[in-house]
Amino acid sequence: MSITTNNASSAPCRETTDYTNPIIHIDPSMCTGCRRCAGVCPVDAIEGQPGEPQTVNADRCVICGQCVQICSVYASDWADSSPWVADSRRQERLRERDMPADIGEPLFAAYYSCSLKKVTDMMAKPGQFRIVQCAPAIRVSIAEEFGMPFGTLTPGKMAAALRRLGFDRVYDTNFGADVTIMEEGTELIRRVTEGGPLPMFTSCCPAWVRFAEIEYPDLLDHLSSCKSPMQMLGSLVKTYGAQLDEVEPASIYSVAIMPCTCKQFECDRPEMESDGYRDVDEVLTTRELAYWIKESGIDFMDLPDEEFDSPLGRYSGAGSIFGVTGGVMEAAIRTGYELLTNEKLPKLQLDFVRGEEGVRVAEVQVGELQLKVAVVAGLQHAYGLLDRVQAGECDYHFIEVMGCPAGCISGGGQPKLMLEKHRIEAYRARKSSIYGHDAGLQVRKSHENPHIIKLYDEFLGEPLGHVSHHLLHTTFQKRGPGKQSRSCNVLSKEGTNNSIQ
Amino acid sequence: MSGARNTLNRPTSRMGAADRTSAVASSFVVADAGHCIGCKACELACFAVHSQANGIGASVGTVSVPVVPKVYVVRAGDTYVPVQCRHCENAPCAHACPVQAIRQENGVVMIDEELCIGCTSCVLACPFGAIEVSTVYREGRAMTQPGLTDRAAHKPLPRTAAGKCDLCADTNGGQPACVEACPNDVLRLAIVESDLLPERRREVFFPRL
Repeated sequence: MSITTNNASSAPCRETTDYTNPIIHIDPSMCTGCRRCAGVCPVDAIEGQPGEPQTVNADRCVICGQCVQICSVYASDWADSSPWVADSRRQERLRERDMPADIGEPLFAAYYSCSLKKVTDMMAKPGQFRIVQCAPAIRVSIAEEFGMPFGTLTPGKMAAALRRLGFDRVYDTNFGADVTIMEEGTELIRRVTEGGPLPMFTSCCPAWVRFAEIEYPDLLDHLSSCKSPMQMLGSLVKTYGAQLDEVEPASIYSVAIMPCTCKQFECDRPEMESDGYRDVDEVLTTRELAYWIKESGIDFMDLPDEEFDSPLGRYSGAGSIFGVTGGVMEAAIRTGYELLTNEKLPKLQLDFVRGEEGVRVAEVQVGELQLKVAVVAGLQHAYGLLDRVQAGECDYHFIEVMGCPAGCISGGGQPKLMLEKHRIEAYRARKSSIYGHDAGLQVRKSHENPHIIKLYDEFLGEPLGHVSHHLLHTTFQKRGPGKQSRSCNVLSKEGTNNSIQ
Repeated sequence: MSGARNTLNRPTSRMGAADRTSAVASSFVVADAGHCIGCKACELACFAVHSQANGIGASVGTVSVPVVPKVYVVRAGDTYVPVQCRHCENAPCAHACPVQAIRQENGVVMIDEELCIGCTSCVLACPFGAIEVSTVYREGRAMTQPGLTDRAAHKPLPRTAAGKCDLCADTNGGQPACVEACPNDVLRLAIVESDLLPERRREVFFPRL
């Protein structure tokens, strides 16, 4: 694949005021002030005295939703004076949160705004071409909402459920992940060969992008200019997809199912549109999709396995591992190695980027190049590394950062666990399920996905080309004066000279 | 939804509590009020392990019934404390029960939900406020009380029963769920030997006096 001269990197930065419509909330009438949410918040955005209701500082919050995951203070309906009072209080809370009136699950003090009603209202409007995409991490977790063991893999049932909910096309964010690898991999190769700002950071995780914009605005040109896989696929759906289906982009209603609470914020960013059309119109979390399936009376576990639609729903193993920490790095190396060396990668399973530590570093011999890479999982671990980049002491080439502790499988919109002791078990099961899915797929490298090859032949031309630049790349915004002083403890696993052979 | 799909991985026998308590006269969960942060993780854990009959798994999304635990986090001024059954040796609740639904098995005071008529006599008798009477749910649905009808609405009324801490009698012999779940190590299982001296016992009951 050739490298074009069109420079899509070094995105210009604009300064902006912050978002006015917060996504994460803490109900002051319920919060007991235990501050466990403050303990998991990577950016100290939760403020308040112990024993008093807490508030979320919307200017600092990166919307990762980890506070929503850990909150165990639920509405004690039994403590109300009568069942009638309890019920009306519950209905009031459900309305406040925009949640469906008939869901049975308990309501917790920390919650995120629910978009399900907006989506179901839009779905009911006639004359629309309804399209949905699902993130890699949903298929390994949604079954947990129906009582199945942790990590049960159900891509086929998920596609079937989405068809029954009324979508005309069921596409897959994994395809967007494959496109991301093509664009981001090419961008990395260009930066390494032409001396672009290094290290280059991934830009898939919206919480991480927001974190960089708030805490390290001076490092924004180190972020890849690529949109996230969700936005890339969203923009392809209304261009390439619209052409293939011969529908007007204006009539397309595009929904994304994400494990993440920050994706709604990303989708609402003003720059996330092409030719006047929003890339993605609305985002639902894993939990919201489960509410919808239950509300519609669909028996999820009895659904047959159905395929995703072609071509924007066909993915490689590399696309599917985006859901775990280290996945983007592994997928990028699988493609980057072959593009740079013109040789087959001898071993596809790259264990040196897999793991559970907050920071993992490794050196990979790619042809002549000694590629130095790092993987960060959990934003609290990013400070140390970014300080070193700021000081010019960080000689890595490529750094993957994911905001949540185990990557998207541990996202704020994923099934919420009742017992804290199950957390590690759940993350491990979801992760091994994702790796198992990758291992079982026939095509495991993004650049070998026949639908990706076709996309570039028929539509995009080449990675970082004019069309890609217009549709798939973006700019970032300065959102604050920069980092506030805080201590950083970096746990790192020093990988030593990992030769791929 | 069948119970077999649950991921809480619990055995079906009721051997746990009997095994654990066979060597002691009585035991109960005691809380260190000074360190409780009021997070209610104990309540949620208690509910999770006692709701197998309603098909509740590990995820909050599997819950379709109101959360009614058997331990209650109570606030008094700036202090939170979880309150639950003390498994009294001469249990006042058992004395008050008109249908003998409350009995003592190896030091654990148990309520037989099937026998209970929901009369709340035990609630009034309990000196600790550790018993709650609530609607009985099975398979995620409220049970109704045969013969008890709301005349105006022509609807059968729900069946209610008393519930309280059973020291996780149905779990596999480990620590009670609340003790395991507490992030601040506020709760512990106090094992009271039958030959314990009165002074020592007093200390266990009232650690702050």
